[in-house]
Amino acid sequence: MPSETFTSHALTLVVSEQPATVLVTWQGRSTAREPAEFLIPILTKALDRASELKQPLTLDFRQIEYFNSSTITPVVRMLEEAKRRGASLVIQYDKKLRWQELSFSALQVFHTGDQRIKVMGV
Amino acid sequence: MQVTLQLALKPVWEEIDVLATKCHDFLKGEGLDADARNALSMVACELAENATKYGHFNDSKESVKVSLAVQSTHVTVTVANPVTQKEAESLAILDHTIQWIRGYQDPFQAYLERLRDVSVQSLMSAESRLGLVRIAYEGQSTLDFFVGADGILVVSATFPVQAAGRGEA
Repeated sequence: MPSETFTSHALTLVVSEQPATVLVTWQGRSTAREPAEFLIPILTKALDRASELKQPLTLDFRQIEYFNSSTITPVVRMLEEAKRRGASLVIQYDKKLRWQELSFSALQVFHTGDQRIKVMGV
Repeated sequence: MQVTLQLALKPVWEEIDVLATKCHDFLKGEGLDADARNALSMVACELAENATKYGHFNDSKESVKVSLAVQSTHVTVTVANPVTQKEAESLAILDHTIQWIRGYQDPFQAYLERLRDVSVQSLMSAESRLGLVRIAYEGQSTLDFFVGADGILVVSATFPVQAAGRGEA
């Protein structure tokens, strides 16, 4: 399964093609002043690939230690972009971590009735 | 008894990671649990990001001043930076945003509304303005601010003691 690793400062994204999904694993800390410059090209390409393979894109945040509010913005915009394209996007977070539960449970406002857009505590 | 951490940061982005580590270490030393440490470090970092972005720093002697005061009933995070008339627009946005958050009984609702607004902006737009409402919702803190006669903007966030769990080393 091919995978690519992208690093910017203390943040690493690993993009891999799994049997049933294109997976983006987030690791470290996302604290850049304008994180969208790093994130959007990677996430857009991953969403393109997932659409090509007719698979969901999964963003796995369980290993992330911290992100600033500027990081939430491109994630939210990708949810909206996936919805607009009719693509499927799943966010996974660690529900045992209170800060992740607070941060990501709010994103459930973007759920779609057909389950294409899902934010799940694991 | 009040225990305070006071820091003066250079107005450069790299200092914010240093702040996060120092906040965590200080709050751990004060016996706050991991959830409270994470929330308060986030609050301090978001406020310091705003100060670094929107402050008016004339020379290398001017800094972003951060303090964390731990008391029995609450923890107060205070961030101060110089401003001038040139920052009038930023101050108006700050004032408006804090008033807007106060207009909600539950900051979660304000946060959701801001998320919806952000979601429909263009993919590469740098605008977020999520920081203050994140402090109110995720950081469970009450925001306030004033500008002193010396041209220093002071923004404070007060975190209630019932949210500030203690006991875990």
